[in-house]
Amino acid sequence: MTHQGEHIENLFRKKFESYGTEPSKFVWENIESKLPATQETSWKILRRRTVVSLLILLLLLFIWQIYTNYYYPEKASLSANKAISQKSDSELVLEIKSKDTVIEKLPFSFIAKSFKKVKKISQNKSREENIPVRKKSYLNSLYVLPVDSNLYPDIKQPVAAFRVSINRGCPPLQVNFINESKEYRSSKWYFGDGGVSMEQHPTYEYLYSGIYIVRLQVFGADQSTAEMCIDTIEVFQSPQAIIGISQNTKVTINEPFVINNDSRKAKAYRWYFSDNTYSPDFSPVHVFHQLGTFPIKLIAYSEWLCGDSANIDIEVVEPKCKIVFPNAFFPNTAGATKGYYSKNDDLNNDIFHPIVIGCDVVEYVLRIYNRKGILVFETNNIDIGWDGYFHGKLLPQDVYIWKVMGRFSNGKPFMKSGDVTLLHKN
Amino acid sequence: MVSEEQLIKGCVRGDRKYQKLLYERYASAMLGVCIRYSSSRPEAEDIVQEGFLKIFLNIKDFTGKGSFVGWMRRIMVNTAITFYHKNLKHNQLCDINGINESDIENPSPYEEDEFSHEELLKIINELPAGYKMVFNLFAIEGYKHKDIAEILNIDVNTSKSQYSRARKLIQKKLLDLKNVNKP
Repeated sequence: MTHQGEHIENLFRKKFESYGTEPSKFVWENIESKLPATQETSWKILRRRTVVSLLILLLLLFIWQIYTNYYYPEKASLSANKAISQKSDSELVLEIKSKDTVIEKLPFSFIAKSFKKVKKISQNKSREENIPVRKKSYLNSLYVLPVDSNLYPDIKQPVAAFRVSINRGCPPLQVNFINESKEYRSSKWYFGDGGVSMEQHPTYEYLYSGIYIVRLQVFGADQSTAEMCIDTIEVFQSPQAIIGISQNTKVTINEPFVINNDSRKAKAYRWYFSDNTYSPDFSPVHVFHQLGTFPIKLIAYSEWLCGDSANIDIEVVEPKCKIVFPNAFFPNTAGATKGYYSKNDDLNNDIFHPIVIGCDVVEYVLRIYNRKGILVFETNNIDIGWDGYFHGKLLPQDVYIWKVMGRFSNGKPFMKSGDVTLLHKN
Repeated sequence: MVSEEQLIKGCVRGDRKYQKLLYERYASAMLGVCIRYSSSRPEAEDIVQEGFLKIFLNIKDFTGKGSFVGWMRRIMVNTAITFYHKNLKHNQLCDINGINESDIENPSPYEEDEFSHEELLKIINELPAGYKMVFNLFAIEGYKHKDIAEILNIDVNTSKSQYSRARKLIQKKLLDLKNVNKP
């Protein structure tokens, strides 16, 4: 189908084959920002960094040289003199006449070559007993090489050492640090939890659980330092004793009371009550026999026997008086029973009577009506209930209304009403 | 002037200088390709950006067979297609009504100078996205319908029918333009 020629295709192809249009500038910037760093540039950076660090190193060396030459020349020569006067075998004090008139002094043996050279000379020189001690001269210089630290009795290297009174325990853990460092002038303690001390023998209290790395840094007379670490200060996790009832909770006297326990991270418990009894239970049941406010103490122990305690006061109060009635009963169909019932043994449920909880009833009137509103039973004796009979006849199965009024032994009056279903036994 | 070979070698090394040179030499041509596939210039520049990143990251895979520019163009076109797929849900597909085939007479061959790039680009950009892809790939890049169908994940016949419809649409627009251009 070369219909109508390939006019359109040709037109567009020719037109767009080599068509170009300049993109905006930021396109390259975007590309560049997304391209990974080239090896070329990273090598350049590395080279630059090496040069810079070398320069810094050289500078530091230079400063050190100046420092040791101009700040401690007296000290060095003094100790050298002292050493020579002691005439110890281990000392190496060499006097070398320098060809130049410039002071050349090498502190310590930091160039191996010169060390060897000096050693060789020292073997020869050590045979000579008397080495003339010269005062510091600008024409002569001293090479002082300490072979033994005894060479400088007053510039001894400090040695850091310490021990601790305890290195594990419950929070708050009080630790005494005993500094046993040698040849030091001052010390600095890092307790591992951010605490710092400059004391010689500090005492530190760790409040929170964790493992702390204690670091002691001692400074010698000549600013040299030494360090020592100890990493075994372990402060155990502390349990949290929480009593699960609120302060001044009211508890009824002579009634068993369950005390909830909300403690955390604890493994063992001990409850202390005001009556000198204690319980190891998690959630003990206690009976209070006295009225008043009493403290309860809980101590919770973790597996490391770290303890935490909680206290709470409990108010022991008189019981609340209650009078309740059942909502159904089965009268004895054999005949009227006059309504006497036993408070403790009443499984028949053939007498309708109230149950009084907490205290006694001193005044009492119970009236029972049928649906028509006729009074079928009345009593003012709490010990007599209704047997379901009215005028010697058993009343039919039905719902009856009761109303009670009276007064408890604590003086509080009561008035209640309700209904009860009379059921016939089949 | 740095030769193409040197440019490629520099870019394989990851030398930023050569990467920039390569970009500067070919960016405009590549944008010329991408702009046909996108609805706007900023989108085309995004495609160029992505495409060049792909070129720089994969230049070591360029075997040297065939033209380097062709290889770059292919990457650009592929990137543009990826964009097209990504933006498919944003592109509103409008149906073209009212193309009466009989309206279009057999035109005489078009002269290259008759239309400017801008006019032709406008025509391409006015095509629905799907038509535009098919037309670009078939008419200008010279892909086969079978390949286009595969690339765009459409049926071969869809590609063919879309192409013929795109072609008709373009033809009509060219005619309109021609009439406008003519005094």
